[in-house]
Amino acid sequence: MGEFSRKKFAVWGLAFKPDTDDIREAPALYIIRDLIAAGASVSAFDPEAMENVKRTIGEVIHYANDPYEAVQDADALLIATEWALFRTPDFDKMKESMKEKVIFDGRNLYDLQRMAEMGFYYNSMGRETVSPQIPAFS
Amino acid sequence: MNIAVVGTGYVGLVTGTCFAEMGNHVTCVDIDANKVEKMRNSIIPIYEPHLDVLFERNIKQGRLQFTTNLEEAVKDATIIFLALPTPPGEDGSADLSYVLGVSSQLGRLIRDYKIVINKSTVPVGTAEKVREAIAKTCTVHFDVISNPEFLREGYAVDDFMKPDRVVIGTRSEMAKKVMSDLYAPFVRQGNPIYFMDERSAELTKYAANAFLATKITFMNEVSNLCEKVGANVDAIRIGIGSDSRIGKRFLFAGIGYGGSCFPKDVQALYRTSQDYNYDFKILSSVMEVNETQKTVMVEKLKQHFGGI
Repeated sequence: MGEFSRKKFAVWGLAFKPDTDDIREAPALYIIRDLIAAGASVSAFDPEAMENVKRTIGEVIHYANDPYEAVQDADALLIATEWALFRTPDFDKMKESMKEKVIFDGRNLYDLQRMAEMGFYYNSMGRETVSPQIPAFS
Repeated sequence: MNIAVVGTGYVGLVTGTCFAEMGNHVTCVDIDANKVEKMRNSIIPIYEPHLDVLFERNIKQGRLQFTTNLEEAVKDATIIFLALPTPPGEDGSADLSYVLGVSSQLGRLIRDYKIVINKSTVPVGTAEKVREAIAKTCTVHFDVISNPEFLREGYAVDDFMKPDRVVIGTRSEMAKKVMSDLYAPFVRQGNPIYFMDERSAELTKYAANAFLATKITFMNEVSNLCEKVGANVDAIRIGIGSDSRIGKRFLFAGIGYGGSCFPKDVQALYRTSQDYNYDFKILSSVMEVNETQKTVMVEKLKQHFGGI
C-alpha cells in the first residue's frame, strides 16, 4: 500500500505537448508511473495520444472517452498537456462529478480568482495556491 | 525535380509530402514493407494536423510514391534526403548506424552526380562520415551536405512550407545552386536561406534545440522560486517577454520538456562536448533540472494528501 492507496486521480493530457500524439519523454507518463507506484488509480484522457500510451503501458490506467468521464469520482485532477479542449471546460459539470474539487495544473490554464470563486482548491505552477478558504490576491 | 527521401519517420514523411506538394516527384524509401504497403494505400502512419490532406492529394496525383527498394528510389533522383532515425546510444550520443548503413549502400548505387542531404539531426562531423562511407564504393562525383529541419510537431506543414529560415551546410557551388532552386518556392516571403559550412549547419540544429530547452528550463526554475517567495510566474513571464531581446514565446512554465527532440538533442550535444573535452556545464544543469521538474506535481500531491 502506497501513499496514494484508494486515491483516484484524473490526468488530462498525455502527449508531451498539444496537437501531437507523440508521448516520447512526456512528463505525463513520468507522473503516472509515480502515481501508480504510490498505489493510486488513474483515469486519463488525451484527444490524440491514448492509443500510443495504451501500447506503451497497457491497461494499468483507465482510458476515458472524454475529459468529464476522466474526472468522475476523482480525488484530484492533474493537467499535464495544454490541449485547447482543456482551456474552457464546464466547471459546474466537473464539480458535480469529482469526489474532491481539487485541481493540480501543470500548465497554468485557469484564472486564480475564478477558480477560488468556483470553489476549487487550485494549485498551479509558480503561482499562489487558491481555494475557497484562501481566495486569490487581488 | 526528382527527389528520394530515405526513411519515413516524422521528418521523412513531412519532407517528402511537402516537396511533392511543391510539384517535385518524390519517392520515399523504407525498409518496413508493411508500412510501405499502407502508405501506398494512402494510410498515413503519423498524426500531424493538415498533413493527411497533402499526403493523399500527392499520392493520388502521382508525385508521392513509396518503395522498399533503395536503388529504384535513387535511380532518377539528383537529390537524396536522409531522414533516418538517430536514437540515443547507451552513452547518450546519437547512434549513426542507420545513417552510415544506408550511406554504404548508396555508394554502390550512385552512378551519376547526386546530392546526399542529412535532414535528420546528426552530430558535428556526420556529413564527413557519410561522405567517407559513400566514397568507399562510389566512383562518380557527389556532394554530402547538411540541411537540418526545424519544424515543430503540430505545426509541421506550416513550418516546412514557410520556414523562418533554411540552413544549408555545404561548400560545393553545385550543391548550393540546386538547393537554392529547390527551396526558392518555400521562401517567397523573403525568409533567408543561410549557407554555411557543414559542421556549422550540423551544430546550428543542436544549438537551437538546446537553447530552447534551456529557455523553458530557466522559466521552470523561476516558477519554482516563485512558489517559494510568493510571486506569480505568469506576471513575470509577461514582464520579461515584452523585452524584444527575450521575446514572448517559449516562456511558459510547466512540468518539464519532453518529446522526441529536446531530451535527445540536449543529451547528444552534451555528449559531443565531452568528446571534444569541453564541459558544457549549463546543459548538464538543464538535464538535471528537467528530470526533477517532470515529477514536481507528484511531490505537490504527496504534500496535499499527506497524512490522510
